[in-house]
Amino acid sequence: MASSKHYAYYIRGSQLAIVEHDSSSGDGLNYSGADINDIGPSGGLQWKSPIASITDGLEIEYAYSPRYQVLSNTTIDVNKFYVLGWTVINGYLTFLRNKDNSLASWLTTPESAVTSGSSGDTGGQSLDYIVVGGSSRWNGLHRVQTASDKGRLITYTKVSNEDAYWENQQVDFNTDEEIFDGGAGTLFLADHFTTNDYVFITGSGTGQNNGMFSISSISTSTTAASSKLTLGTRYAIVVSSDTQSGPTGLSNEYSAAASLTGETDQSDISIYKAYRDFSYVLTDVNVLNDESDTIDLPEYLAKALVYYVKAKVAEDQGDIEQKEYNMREFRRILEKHESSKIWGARQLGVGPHAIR
Amino acid sequence: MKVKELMERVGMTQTGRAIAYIKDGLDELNMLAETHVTTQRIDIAKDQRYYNLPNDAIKIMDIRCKNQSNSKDEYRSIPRTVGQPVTEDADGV
Repeated sequence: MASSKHYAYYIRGSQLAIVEHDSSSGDGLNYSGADINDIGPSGGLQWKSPIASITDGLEIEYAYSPRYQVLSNTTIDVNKFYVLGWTVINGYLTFLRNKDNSLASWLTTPESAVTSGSSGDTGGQSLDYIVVGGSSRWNGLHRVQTASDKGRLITYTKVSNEDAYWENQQVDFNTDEEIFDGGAGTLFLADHFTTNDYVFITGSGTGQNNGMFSISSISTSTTAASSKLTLGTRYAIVVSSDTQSGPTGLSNEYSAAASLTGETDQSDISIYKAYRDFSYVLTDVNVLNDESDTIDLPEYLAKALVYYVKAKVAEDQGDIEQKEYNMREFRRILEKHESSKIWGARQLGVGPHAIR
Repeated sequence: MKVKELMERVGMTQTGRAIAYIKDGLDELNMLAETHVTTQRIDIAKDQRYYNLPNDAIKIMDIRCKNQSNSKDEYRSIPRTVGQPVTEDADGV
């Protein structure tokens, strides 16, 4: 049985900081563990970063803006595609997907639905939108820039991360699960990664040499060919018909120890520093971008939106009185809509310590 | 209601401008009266203090953690701290 925990949070910029109460208790007879400086209200034992990893441990409930609608039933590998994580290419967010034996091609069926789906804006126009879900960072709407046959789905979402990547390099693989410079003598891979980072590799002629890997260790050297990354686990999305990954279940991530095939003749290897973030991409998305689109709001609240748009138009014209009137109506309708959902009499409760 | 109908009610003819204001209005509306709510679960990593808020979040409504004050794997709301703990964190991301 899991043990009871005590968390708290605070906001830092656009990030959420999670802290956990780290308590150390004795058996009631003997003092155990803690250093004397760690005891007390400001002691190190009190609140600190989470002291254990918990899968799906944090749940955030939030409101989002309904700027899109997903029109079809979501079916895995028809219009819902799992991705293993993301990287940044040319400053743009790029989602990564590989199977157990090969990279996924976003150009062929079924993944090609990201640019040629049957409904929504996708396929109907030259605007290809996807909605990401289950991600720890990128949930929501993104527009596809380039779909590639090497597992990369590049979007138009700008990311400020400055992560290392190399394209079309001479890189060698060996059966000790190591990768290293294979010719140019200028690629010191170990200088750019640390243990437990992730890499996404494309370009190898051997399927299982490509894909998302964790780095189990690095060995730095002043010689490029000896500056090596040792790969630990290889991650893949599940294919139902695949005997290795199939039993894992379509909505789960498959992982196995890296098992590289030795190669010394590759000159078009691309290596990206990646972020593992198992999530999914939905296609067949209809984005609010033309006159025939339906605004995804209850009919009554759509009237409030009319007042909001009227207010913005009045503001543009410098008619502040009209703007204020329309904003007041906007808020009035919102409040009426909120009140309409609460039935019965309302009264304020008096607290037990109130002055009587 | 369709975008076209809203434009007619307002008396606008510029589609791009109307859609921009509608998007602003949808954001504002969800700040004041949440119409579209979702939840997202994230793995808690040992020694990692900072987690990105969801990209599409307009308003955070609740933060819950698994096993918060219980040992039955239930998700319960966690409190917001007034200040920051004295033990600083190194992950800094």
